[in-house]
Amino acid sequence: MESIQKPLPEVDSTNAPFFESVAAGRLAVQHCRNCGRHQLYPKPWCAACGSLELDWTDAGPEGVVYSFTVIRRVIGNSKDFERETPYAVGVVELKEGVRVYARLLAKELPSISIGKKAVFQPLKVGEKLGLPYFSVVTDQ
Amino acid sequence: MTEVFASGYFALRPSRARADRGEEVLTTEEYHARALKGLLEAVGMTKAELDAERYALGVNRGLWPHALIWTAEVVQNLGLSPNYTFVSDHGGMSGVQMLIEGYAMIKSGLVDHAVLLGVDSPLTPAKPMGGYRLERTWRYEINYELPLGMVGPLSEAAFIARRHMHEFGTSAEELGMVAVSQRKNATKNPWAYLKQPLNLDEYLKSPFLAEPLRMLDAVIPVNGGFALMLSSGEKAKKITETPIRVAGFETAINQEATNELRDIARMTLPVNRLFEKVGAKIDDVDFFELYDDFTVVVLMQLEALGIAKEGGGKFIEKNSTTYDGDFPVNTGGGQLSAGQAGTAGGLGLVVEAVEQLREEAGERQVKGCKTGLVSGLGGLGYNANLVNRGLVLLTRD
Repeated sequence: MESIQKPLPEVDSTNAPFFESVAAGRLAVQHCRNCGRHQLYPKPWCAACGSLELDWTDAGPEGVVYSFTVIRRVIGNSKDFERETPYAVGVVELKEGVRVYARLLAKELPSISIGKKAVFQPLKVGEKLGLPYFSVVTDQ
Repeated sequence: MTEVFASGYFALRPSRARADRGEEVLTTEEYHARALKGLLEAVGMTKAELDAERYALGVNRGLWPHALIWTAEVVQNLGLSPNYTFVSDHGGMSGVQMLIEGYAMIKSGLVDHAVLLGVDSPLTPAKPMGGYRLERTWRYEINYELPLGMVGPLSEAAFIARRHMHEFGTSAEELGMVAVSQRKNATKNPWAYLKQPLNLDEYLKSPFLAEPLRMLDAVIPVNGGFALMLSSGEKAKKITETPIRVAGFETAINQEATNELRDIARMTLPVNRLFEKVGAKIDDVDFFELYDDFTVVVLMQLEALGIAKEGGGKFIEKNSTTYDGDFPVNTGGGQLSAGQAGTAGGLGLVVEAVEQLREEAGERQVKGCKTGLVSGLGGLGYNANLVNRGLVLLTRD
Protein backbone atom coordinates (compact mmCIF):
# COMPACT_ATOMS: atom_id res chain seq x y z
CA MET A 1 0.00 0.00 0.00
CA GLU A 2 1.05 3.55 -0.71
CA SER A 3 1.84 5.99 2.06
CA ILE A 4 -1.22 7.74 3.45
CA GLN A 5 0.66 11.02 3.18
CA LYS A 6 -0.30 11.14 -0.47
CA PRO A 7 -3.69 12.51 -1.44
CA LEU A 8 -6.36 9.93 -2.17
CA PRO A 9 -9.49 10.39 -4.25
CA GLU A 10 -12.74 11.43 -2.55
CA VAL A 11 -14.93 8.49 -3.34
CA ASP A 12 -18.61 9.28 -3.88
CA SER A 13 -21.63 7.60 -5.44
CA THR A 14 -20.70 8.79 -8.93
CA ASN A 15 -17.11 7.61 -9.03
CA ALA A 16 -17.08 4.61 -6.63
CA PRO A 17 -17.53 2.01 -9.42
CA PHE A 18 -14.49 3.47 -11.22
CA PHE A 19 -12.15 3.26 -8.24
CA GLU A 20 -13.55 -0.12 -7.17
CA SER A 21 -12.98 -1.55 -10.62
CA VAL A 22 -9.38 -0.33 -10.71
CA ALA A 23 -8.78 -1.90 -7.28
CA ALA A 24 -10.12 -5.17 -8.73
CA GLY A 25 -7.79 -4.95 -11.72
CA ARG A 26 -10.39 -3.71 -14.24
CA LEU A 27 -10.84 -0.29 -15.85
CA ALA A 28 -14.52 0.62 -15.80
CA VAL A 29 -15.68 3.57 -17.89
CA GLN A 30 -19.13 5.13 -17.85
CA HIS A 31 -21.40 4.11 -20.71
CA CYS A 32 -24.63 5.81 -21.77
CA ARG A 33 -27.52 3.43 -22.34
CA ASN A 34 -29.31 6.06 -24.41
CA CYS A 35 -26.68 7.22 -26.92
CA GLY A 36 -24.09 4.49 -26.45
CA ARG A 37 -21.19 6.83 -25.80
CA HIS A 38 -18.53 6.37 -23.13
CA GLN A 39 -17.21 9.10 -20.84
CA LEU A 40 -14.44 9.78 -18.33
CA TYR A 41 -14.06 11.18 -15.74
CA PRO A 42 -17.31 9.80 -14.23
CA LYS A 43 -20.11 12.37 -14.37
CA PRO A 44 -23.63 12.68 -12.94
CA TRP A 45 -25.28 12.21 -16.35
CA CYS A 46 -24.28 11.67 -19.96
CA ALA A 47 -22.48 14.89 -20.85
CA ALA A 48 -23.16 14.17 -24.53
CA CYS A 49 -26.93 13.50 -24.67
CA GLY A 50 -28.12 14.39 -21.17
CA SER A 51 -29.42 10.95 -20.24
CA LEU A 52 -29.37 9.79 -16.61
CA GLU A 53 -29.27 6.17 -17.75
CA LEU A 54 -25.61 5.35 -17.21
CA ASP A 55 -23.93 2.03 -16.61
CA TRP A 56 -20.33 0.82 -16.71
CA THR A 57 -18.22 -1.03 -19.28
CA ASP A 58 -14.83 -2.58 -18.66
CA ALA A 59 -12.38 -1.04 -21.09
CA GLY A 60 -9.78 -3.19 -22.76
CA PRO A 61 -6.44 -3.37 -20.97
CA GLU A 62 -4.55 -1.47 -23.65
CA GLY A 63 -4.44 2.09 -24.85
CA VAL A 64 -2.20 4.54 -26.62
CA VAL A 65 -0.24 7.44 -25.09
CA TYR A 66 -1.99 10.66 -26.19
CA SER A 67 0.24 13.02 -24.20
CA PHE A 68 2.47 12.92 -21.14
CA THR A 69 4.79 14.88 -18.90
CA VAL A 70 7.79 13.99 -16.78
CA ILE A 71 7.45 15.62 -13.39
CA ARG A 72 10.75 17.03 -12.18
CA ARG A 73 9.56 19.26 -9.38
CA VAL A 74 6.57 18.73 -7.11
CA ILE A 75 4.57 21.93 -6.80
CA GLY A 76 1.07 22.05 -5.36
CA ASN A 77 0.97 18.42 -4.32
CA SER A 78 2.21 16.27 -1.45
CA LYS A 79 5.95 16.48 -0.83
CA ASP A 80 5.78 12.68 -0.57
CA PHE A 81 5.96 12.55 -4.35
CA GLU A 82 9.42 14.14 -4.28
CA ARG A 83 10.95 10.75 -3.43
CA GLU A 84 9.71 9.47 -6.78
CA THR A 85 10.89 12.24 -9.11
CA PRO A 86 11.37 12.09 -11.98
CA TYR A 87 8.17 10.23 -12.84
CA ALA A 88 5.75 10.28 -15.76
CA VAL A 89 2.02 10.95 -15.85
CA GLY A 90 0.08 10.95 -19.03
CA VAL A 91 -3.16 10.72 -20.94
CA VAL A 92 -4.00 7.29 -22.33
CA GLU A 93 -6.52 7.02 -25.15
CA LEU A 94 -8.69 3.90 -24.99
CA LYS A 95 -10.49 2.03 -27.75
CA GLU A 96 -13.79 3.02 -26.16
CA GLY A 97 -13.21 6.59 -27.34
CA VAL A 98 -12.25 8.12 -24.00
CA ARG A 99 -9.01 9.19 -22.41
CA VAL A 100 -7.84 8.46 -18.87
CA TYR A 101 -5.18 10.26 -16.86
CA ALA A 102 -2.68 7.75 -15.51
CA ARG A 103 0.72 7.27 -14.03
CA LEU A 104 2.99 5.96 -16.78
CA LEU A 105 5.59 3.33 -15.95
CA ALA A 106 8.60 2.65 -18.18
CA LYS A 107 12.07 1.24 -17.66
CA GLU A 108 13.52 4.39 -19.24
CA LEU A 109 11.41 7.56 -19.03
CA PRO A 110 12.94 9.11 -22.20
CA SER A 111 11.64 6.13 -24.18
CA ILE A 112 8.02 7.24 -23.60
CA SER A 113 6.53 9.03 -26.58
CA ILE A 114 3.15 9.94 -28.01
CA GLY A 115 1.54 7.00 -29.82
CA LYS A 116 3.24 4.25 -27.80
CA LYS A 117 1.12 1.37 -26.59
CA ALA A 118 0.31 1.38 -22.86
CA VAL A 119 -0.93 -1.60 -20.85
CA PHE A 120 -3.16 -1.18 -17.81
CA GLN A 121 -1.28 -2.04 -14.62
CA PRO A 122 -3.41 -0.68 -11.76
CA LEU A 123 -2.11 0.20 -8.33
CA LYS A 124 -4.30 -0.92 -5.43
CA VAL A 125 -4.21 1.61 -2.59
CA GLY A 126 -7.25 0.44 -0.63
CA GLU A 127 -9.82 -2.34 -0.48
CA LYS A 128 -12.06 -0.54 -2.96
CA LEU A 129 -9.63 2.05 -4.20
CA GLY A 130 -7.26 1.68 -7.11
CA LEU A 131 -5.34 4.21 -9.19
CA PRO A 132 -4.91 3.95 -12.96
CA TYR A 133 -1.29 3.15 -13.77
CA PHE A 134 -0.17 2.00 -17.22
CA SER A 135 3.04 0.38 -18.32
CA VAL A 136 4.32 1.88 -21.57
CA VAL A 137 5.50 -0.65 -24.13
CA THR A 138 8.75 0.91 -25.30
CA ASP A 139 10.32 -1.95 -27.28
CA GLN A 140 7.71 -1.94 -30.04
CA MET B 1 -28.38 53.21 -24.58
CA THR B 2 -25.10 54.49 -23.32
CA GLU B 3 -21.76 53.20 -24.43
CA VAL B 4 -19.47 51.87 -21.69
CA PHE B 5 -15.97 53.22 -21.13
CA ALA B 6 -12.96 52.48 -18.98
CA SER B 7 -12.70 55.77 -17.09
CA GLY B 8 -9.76 55.04 -14.78
CA TYR B 9 -7.28 52.39 -13.74
CA PHE B 10 -4.63 51.60 -11.17
CA ALA B 11 -1.90 48.97 -10.86
CA LEU B 12 -0.30 47.83 -7.60
CA ARG B 13 3.39 47.07 -7.30
CA PRO B 14 3.80 43.26 -7.38
CA SER B 15 5.53 41.53 -4.49
CA ARG B 16 6.83 38.05 -3.77
CA ALA B 17 6.27 38.87 -0.10
CA ARG B 18 9.98 38.65 0.61
CA ALA B 19 10.31 40.82 3.70
CA ASP B 20 14.05 39.97 3.71
CA ARG B 21 14.34 41.82 0.40
CA GLY B 22 12.29 44.76 1.58
CA GLU B 23 9.17 43.64 -0.27
CA GLU B 24 5.65 44.31 0.97
CA VAL B 25 3.86 41.49 2.78
CA LEU B 26 0.17 42.30 2.46
CA THR B 27 -3.11 40.42 2.65
CA THR B 28 -5.82 40.43 0.02
CA GLU B 29 -7.84 42.78 2.25
CA GLU B 30 -4.95 45.25 2.41
CA TYR B 31 -4.55 45.05 -1.35
CA HIS B 32 -8.25 45.83 -1.78
CA ALA B 33 -7.81 49.04 0.21
CA ARG B 34 -4.69 50.07 -1.69
CA ALA B 35 -6.22 49.27 -5.07
CA LEU B 36 -9.31 51.32 -4.30
CA LYS B 37 -7.25 54.22 -2.96
CA GLY B 38 -5.16 54.27 -6.14
CA LEU B 39 -8.24 54.11 -8.34
CA LEU B 40 -10.03 56.92 -6.51
CA GLU B 41 -6.96 59.12 -6.89
CA ALA B 42 -6.77 58.22 -10.58
CA VAL B 43 -10.38 59.23 -11.23
CA GLY B 44 -10.26 62.23 -8.90
CA MET B 45 -12.99 61.07 -6.55
CA THR B 46 -13.17 60.77 -2.80
CA LYS B 47 -14.64 57.69 -1.20
CA ALA B 48 -17.69 59.75 -0.21
CA GLU B 49 -18.13 60.98 -3.78
CA LEU B 50 -17.99 57.39 -5.07
CA ASP B 51 -20.63 56.34 -2.56
CA ALA B 52 -22.88 59.15 -3.76
CA GLU B 53 -22.86 57.57 -7.25
CA ARG B 54 -24.90 54.61 -8.49
CA TYR B 55 -22.24 51.93 -8.80
CA ALA B 56 -21.46 48.23 -8.63
CA LEU B 57 -18.44 46.69 -6.94
CA GLY B 58 -16.92 43.62 -8.55
CA VAL B 59 -14.16 41.46 -7.04
CA ASN B 60 -12.35 38.35 -8.21
CA ARG B 61 -12.47 35.19 -6.15
CA GLY B 62 -8.94 34.92 -4.78
CA LEU B 63 -6.78 31.86 -4.25
CA TRP B 64 -6.97 31.87 -0.47
CA PRO B 65 -10.17 30.54 1.06
CA HIS B 66 -12.61 33.30 1.82
CA ALA B 67 -16.07 33.54 3.33
CA LEU B 68 -18.97 32.14 1.38
CA ILE B 69 -20.69 35.55 1.37
CA TRP B 70 -17.42 37.32 0.79
CA THR B 71 -18.59 40.61 -0.70
CA ALA B 72 -20.44 41.34 2.57
CA GLU B 73 -17.06 41.30 4.27
CA VAL B 74 -15.29 43.28 1.54
CA VAL B 75 -17.78 46.16 1.64
CA GLN B 76 -17.51 46.31 5.44
CA ASN B 77 -13.71 46.30 5.29
CA LEU B 78 -13.77 49.15 2.80
CA GLY B 79 -16.77 51.00 4.22
CA LEU B 80 -18.51 51.08 0.84
CA SER B 81 -22.23 51.15 0.04
CA PRO B 82 -22.50 50.10 -3.61
CA ASN B 83 -25.84 49.40 -5.27
CA TYR B 84 -24.70 45.95 -6.36
CA THR B 85 -21.80 43.61 -5.70
CA PHE B 86 -20.56 40.59 -7.61
CA VAL B 87 -17.75 38.03 -7.51
CA SER B 88 -16.20 36.42 -10.54
CA ASP B 89 -15.47 32.72 -10.45
CA HIS B 90 -13.58 32.37 -13.69
CA GLY B 91 -9.91 31.95 -12.82
CA GLY B 92 -7.81 33.54 -15.54
CA MET B 93 -10.94 34.86 -17.22
CA SER B 94 -11.95 36.75 -14.07
CA GLY B 95 -10.76 40.14 -15.34
CA VAL B 96 -12.72 39.79 -18.57
CA GLN B 97 -15.73 38.44 -16.72
CA MET B 98 -15.78 41.33 -14.22
CA LEU B 99 -15.60 43.74 -17.13
CA ILE B 100 -18.55 42.00 -18.81
CA GLU B 101 -20.69 42.04 -15.64
CA GLY B 102 -19.89 45.68 -14.99
CA TYR B 103 -20.60 46.52 -18.63
CA ALA B 104 -24.00 44.81 -18.51
CA MET B 105 -25.03 46.69 -15.36
CA ILE B 106 -24.05 50.06 -16.85
CA LYS B 107 -25.52 49.29 -20.27
CA SER B 108 -28.84 48.28 -18.75
CA GLY B 109 -28.99 51.46 -16.69
CA LEU B 110 -28.75 49.75 -13.30
CA VAL B 111 -25.66 51.78 -12.40
CA ASP B 112 -23.44 54.53 -13.80
CA HIS B 113 -20.12 52.99 -12.74
CA ALA B 114 -18.55 49.64 -12.00
CA VAL B 115 -15.54 49.52 -9.71
CA LEU B 116 -13.54 46.36 -10.41
CA LEU B 117 -10.98 45.32 -7.82
CA GLY B 118 -8.82 42.46 -9.03
CA VAL B 119 -6.31 41.62 -6.32
CA ASP B 120 -4.83 38.45 -4.91
CA SER B 121 -2.17 37.41 -2.45
CA PRO B 122 -1.17 33.83 -3.26
CA LEU B 123 2.06 34.20 -1.25
CA THR B 124 0.45 35.63 1.88
CA PRO B 125 -0.53 35.16 4.66
CA ALA B 126 0.91 31.78 5.50
CA LYS B 127 2.15 28.97 3.26
CA PRO B 128 3.55 30.18 -0.03
CA MET B 129 2.06 29.07 -3.30
CA GLY B 130 3.75 25.78 -3.98
CA GLY B 131 2.86 24.73 -0.49
CA TYR B 132 0.35 21.95 -0.40
CA ARG B 133 -2.93 23.59 -1.48
CA LEU B 134 -4.59 26.96 -1.34
CA GLU B 135 -8.30 27.12 -2.13
CA ARG B 136 -10.05 23.80 -2.58
CA THR B 137 -9.59 22.74 -6.16
CA TRP B 138 -11.80 20.93 -8.64
CA ARG B 139 -13.18 17.48 -7.77
CA TYR B 140 -11.63 16.16 -10.98
CA GLU B 141 -8.22 17.38 -9.87
CA ILE B 142 -8.65 15.94 -6.36
CA ASN B 143 -9.89 12.59 -7.66
CA TYR B 144 -8.12 11.94 -10.95
CA GLU B 145 -4.99 14.10 -10.96
CA LEU B 146 -3.44 14.72 -7.53
CA PRO B 147 -3.42 11.03 -6.45
CA LEU B 148 -1.30 10.29 -9.52
CA GLY B 149 1.29 12.87 -8.52
CA MET B 150 0.21 15.51 -11.02
CA VAL B 151 1.22 19.05 -10.10
CA GLY B 152 -1.85 21.11 -10.92
CA PRO B 153 -1.94 23.53 -13.85
CA LEU B 154 1.72 22.86 -14.66
CA SER B 155 1.11 19.22 -15.49
CA GLU B 156 -2.08 19.95 -17.43
CA ALA B 157 -0.25 22.61 -19.45
CA ALA B 158 2.63 20.17 -19.99
CA PHE B 159 0.19 17.72 -21.64
CA ILE B 160 -0.94 20.54 -23.92
CA ALA B 161 2.59 21.67 -24.75
CA ARG B 162 3.76 18.11 -25.51
CA ARG B 163 0.80 17.67 -27.82
CA HIS B 164 1.45 21.05 -29.47
CA MET B 165 5.04 20.04 -30.15
CA HIS B 166 3.81 16.75 -31.62
CA GLU B 167 1.20 18.30 -33.92
CA PHE B 168 2.86 21.57 -34.95
CA GLY B 169 6.53 20.68 -34.57
CA THR B 170 6.84 23.43 -32.00
CA SER B 171 10.33 23.57 -30.53
CA ALA B 172 11.64 24.52 -27.11
CA GLU B 173 13.27 27.53 -28.77
CA GLU B 174 9.90 28.70 -30.11
CA LEU B 175 8.33 28.47 -26.65
CA GLY B 176 11.37 30.34 -25.39
CA MET B 177 10.82 33.16 -27.87
CA VAL B 178 7.49 33.92 -26.17
CA ALA B 179 9.25 34.28 -22.83
CA VAL B 180 12.12 36.30 -24.29
CA SER B 181 9.87 38.68 -26.24
CA GLN B 182 7.60 39.35 -23.27
CA ARG B 183 10.62 39.93 -21.05
CA LYS B 184 11.83 42.63 -23.40
CA ASN B 185 8.47 44.35 -22.91
CA ALA B 186 8.78 43.91 -19.15
CA THR B 187 12.16 45.68 -19.09
CA LYS B 188 10.22 48.86 -19.99
CA ASN B 189 7.45 48.29 -17.45
CA PRO B 190 8.27 49.77 -14.05
CA TRP B 191 5.63 47.52 -12.45
CA ALA B 192 6.92 44.23 -13.88
CA TYR B 193 8.29 41.83 -11.26
CA LEU B 194 10.92 40.36 -13.59
CA LYS B 195 12.70 43.17 -15.41
CA GLN B 196 16.19 41.85 -16.09
CA PRO B 197 16.76 41.09 -19.79
CA LEU B 198 16.42 37.45 -20.84
CA ASN B 199 17.96 35.66 -23.82
CA LEU B 200 17.17 32.31 -25.39
CA ASP B 201 20.20 30.56 -23.90
CA GLU B 202 19.12 31.60 -20.42
CA TYR B 203 15.61 30.35 -21.15
CA LEU B 204 16.96 26.97 -22.29
CA LYS B 205 19.01 26.66 -19.08
CA SER B 206 15.91 27.25 -16.98
CA PRO B 207 15.12 24.02 -15.08
CA PHE B 208 12.37 21.65 -16.18
CA LEU B 209 9.38 21.58 -13.83
CA ALA B 210 7.09 19.28 -15.79
CA GLU B 211 8.67 18.37 -19.13
CA PRO B 212 8.51 19.83 -21.69
CA LEU B 213 7.79 22.92 -19.55
CA ARG B 214 10.60 24.85 -17.93
CA MET B 215 10.32 27.30 -15.08
CA LEU B 216 10.36 30.17 -17.59
CA ASP B 217 7.41 28.70 -19.50
CA ALA B 218 5.19 29.44 -16.50
CA VAL B 219 4.00 32.61 -14.80
CA ILE B 220 5.73 33.88 -11.72
CA PRO B 221 3.14 34.10 -8.91
CA VAL B 222 3.04 37.45 -7.12
CA ASN B 223 0.90 39.32 -4.66
CA GLY B 224 -0.70 42.43 -6.05
CA GLY B 225 -3.47 43.44 -8.36
CA PHE B 226 -5.31 46.06 -10.32
CA ALA B 227 -8.34 48.31 -10.23
CA LEU B 228 -10.47 49.45 -13.14
CA MET B 229 -13.43 51.79 -13.26
CA LEU B 230 -16.06 51.47 -15.95
CA SER B 231 -18.48 54.34 -16.48
CA SER B 232 -21.36 55.37 -18.71
CA GLY B 233 -20.49 57.73 -21.56
CA GLU B 234 -21.70 60.86 -19.84
CA LYS B 235 -19.98 60.06 -16.55
CA ALA B 236 -16.76 58.91 -18.17
CA LYS B 237 -16.34 62.22 -19.98
CA LYS B 238 -16.49 64.05 -16.64
CA ILE B 239 -13.73 61.83 -15.25
CA THR B 240 -11.23 61.78 -18.09
CA GLU B 241 -10.39 63.29 -21.45
CA THR B 242 -9.35 59.87 -22.72
CA PRO B 243 -12.15 57.41 -21.97
CA ILE B 244 -11.48 54.00 -23.56
CA ARG B 245 -14.58 52.44 -25.09
CA VAL B 246 -15.49 48.80 -24.56
CA ALA B 247 -16.19 48.11 -28.23
CA GLY B 248 -17.31 44.55 -27.67
CA PHE B 249 -16.68 41.18 -26.10
CA GLU B 250 -17.50 37.53 -26.62
CA THR B 251 -17.00 34.44 -24.50
CA ALA B 252 -16.89 30.73 -25.25
CA ILE B 253 -17.42 28.39 -22.31
CA ASN B 254 -16.55 24.68 -22.42
CA GLN B 255 -16.31 24.38 -26.17
CA GLU B 256 -16.41 20.82 -27.58
CA ALA B 257 -18.21 19.77 -24.41
CA THR B 258 -19.43 16.51 -25.90
CA ASN B 259 -16.24 15.45 -27.66
CA GLU B 260 -14.17 13.12 -25.48
CA LEU B 261 -11.45 13.04 -28.15
CA ARG B 262 -11.05 16.81 -28.46
CA ASP B 263 -7.68 18.09 -29.61
CA ILE B 264 -6.16 19.72 -26.53
CA ALA B 265 -3.46 21.47 -28.60
CA ARG B 266 -6.03 23.50 -30.52
CA MET B 267 -8.08 26.31 -29.09
CA THR B 268 -11.08 28.02 -30.57
CA LEU B 269 -11.78 31.63 -29.69
CA PRO B 270 -14.99 33.53 -30.52
CA VAL B 271 -13.03 35.92 -32.71
CA ASN B 272 -15.29 35.88 -35.77
CA ARG B 273 -18.42 36.47 -33.67
CA LEU B 274 -16.70 39.39 -31.93
CA PHE B 275 -15.57 41.17 -35.07
CA GLU B 276 -18.87 40.61 -36.88
CA LYS B 277 -20.75 42.11 -33.95
CA VAL B 278 -18.42 45.08 -33.61
CA GLY B 279 -18.11 45.66 -37.34
CA ALA B 280 -14.33 45.60 -37.31
CA LYS B 281 -11.62 43.21 -38.46
CA ILE B 282 -8.59 41.73 -36.80
CA ASP B 283 -6.30 43.86 -38.97
CA ASP B 284 -7.67 46.88 -37.08
CA VAL B 285 -6.06 45.63 -33.86
CA ASP B 286 -2.86 47.49 -32.98
CA PHE B 287 -1.75 45.26 -30.10
CA PHE B 288 -2.78 42.08 -28.31
CA GLU B 289 -2.91 41.26 -24.60
CA LEU B 290 -3.20 37.46 -24.69
CA TYR B 291 -3.72 35.52 -21.48
CA ASP B 292 -0.37 33.92 -20.75
CA ASP B 293 -0.43 31.35 -17.99
CA PHE B 294 2.09 29.37 -20.06
CA THR B 295 4.15 30.17 -23.17
CA VAL B 296 2.39 27.55 -25.30
CA VAL B 297 -1.00 29.12 -24.59
CA VAL B 298 0.12 32.35 -26.27
CA LEU B 299 1.04 30.39 -29.41
CA MET B 300 -2.32 28.60 -29.39
CA GLN B 301 -4.16 31.92 -29.26
CA LEU B 302 -2.19 33.32 -32.18
CA GLU B 303 -3.38 30.25 -34.09
CA ALA B 304 -6.97 30.58 -32.83
CA LEU B 305 -7.13 34.22 -33.86
CA GLY B 306 -6.25 33.18 -37.41
CA ILE B 307 -3.01 35.15 -37.33
CA ALA B 308 -0.50 32.29 -37.16
CA LYS B 309 -1.77 30.06 -39.94
CA GLU B 310 1.40 27.95 -40.09
CA GLY B 311 1.51 27.50 -36.33
CA GLY B 312 2.30 29.85 -33.47
CA GLY B 313 5.90 28.68 -33.23
CA LYS B 314 6.71 29.51 -36.84
CA PHE B 315 4.89 32.83 -36.47
CA ILE B 316 6.91 33.96 -33.49
CA GLU B 317 10.12 33.00 -35.28
CA LYS B 318 9.26 35.25 -38.22
CA ASN B 319 7.64 38.21 -36.47
CA SER B 320 8.54 40.58 -33.71
CA THR B 321 5.98 40.53 -30.91
CA THR B 322 7.63 43.16 -28.71
CA TYR B 323 5.94 46.50 -27.98
CA ASP B 324 7.95 48.11 -30.82
CA GLY B 325 7.60 45.16 -33.19
CA ASP B 326 5.27 44.56 -36.13
CA PHE B 327 2.90 42.56 -33.96
CA PRO B 328 2.91 43.67 -30.30
CA VAL B 329 1.83 40.98 -27.81
CA ASN B 330 1.65 41.38 -24.03
CA THR B 331 3.18 44.82 -24.08
CA GLY B 332 3.74 45.04 -20.32
CA GLY B 333 5.52 41.70 -20.12
CA GLY B 334 2.37 39.70 -19.47
CA GLN B 335 2.05 37.44 -16.48
CA LEU B 336 5.16 35.51 -17.54
CA SER B 337 7.33 38.52 -16.64
CA ALA B 338 5.16 41.10 -14.88
CA GLY B 339 3.86 38.42 -12.52
CA GLN B 340 0.55 36.67 -11.96
CA ALA B 341 -1.43 38.07 -9.06
CA GLY B 342 -3.46 34.88 -8.65
CA THR B 343 -6.89 35.08 -10.26
CA ALA B 344 -6.46 38.85 -10.67
CA GLY B 345 -3.72 38.43 -13.26
CA GLY B 346 -6.17 38.62 -16.13
CA LEU B 347 -7.39 42.07 -15.08
CA GLY B 348 -3.78 43.20 -15.42
CA LEU B 349 -3.97 42.54 -19.16
CA VAL B 350 -7.12 44.69 -19.41
CA VAL B 351 -5.44 47.48 -17.43
CA GLU B 352 -2.33 47.29 -19.63
CA ALA B 353 -4.54 47.69 -22.71
CA VAL B 354 -6.28 50.73 -21.23
CA GLU B 355 -2.93 52.25 -20.30
CA GLN B 356 -1.65 51.71 -23.87
CA LEU B 357 -4.78 53.18 -25.47
CA ARG B 358 -4.52 56.26 -23.24
CA GLU B 359 -0.90 56.56 -24.39
CA GLU B 360 0.28 56.43 -20.80
CA ALA B 361 2.54 53.38 -21.20
CA GLY B 362 5.80 55.32 -21.15
CA GLU B 363 8.80 53.59 -22.70
CA ARG B 364 6.77 50.57 -23.80
CA GLN B 365 4.11 52.64 -25.57
CA VAL B 366 2.78 51.14 -28.81
CA LYS B 367 2.92 54.25 -30.95
CA GLY B 368 -0.34 55.59 -32.30
CA CYS B 369 -2.43 52.65 -31.08
CA LYS B 370 -6.21 52.96 -31.24
CA THR B 371 -7.48 49.40 -30.75
CA GLY B 372 -6.38 46.58 -28.47
CA LEU B 373 -7.63 43.02 -28.10
CA VAL B 374 -7.53 41.35 -24.67
CA SER B 375 -8.17 37.71 -23.88
CA GLY B 376 -8.98 35.98 -20.63
CA LEU B 377 -8.64 32.23 -20.21
CA GLY B 378 -9.45 30.26 -17.09
CA GLY B 379 -9.87 26.75 -15.80
CA LEU B 380 -7.56 24.04 -17.15
CA GLY B 381 -9.92 21.15 -17.72
CA TYR B 382 -9.62 17.37 -17.59
CA ASN B 383 -8.59 16.17 -21.03
CA ALA B 384 -9.15 19.72 -22.30
CA ASN B 385 -7.37 23.03 -22.40
CA LEU B 386 -8.94 26.23 -21.08
CA VAL B 387 -12.64 25.92 -20.19
CA ASN B 388 -13.40 29.67 -19.87
CA ARG B 389 -12.40 31.80 -22.86
CA GLY B 390 -13.21 35.44 -23.38
CA LEU B 391 -12.19 38.28 -25.68
CA VAL B 392 -12.61 42.03 -25.18
CA LEU B 393 -12.01 44.70 -27.78
CA LEU B 394 -11.08 48.16 -26.47
CA THR B 395 -10.92 51.31 -28.57
CA ARG B 396 -9.85 54.88 -28.23
CA ASP B 397 -12.34 56.84 -30.32
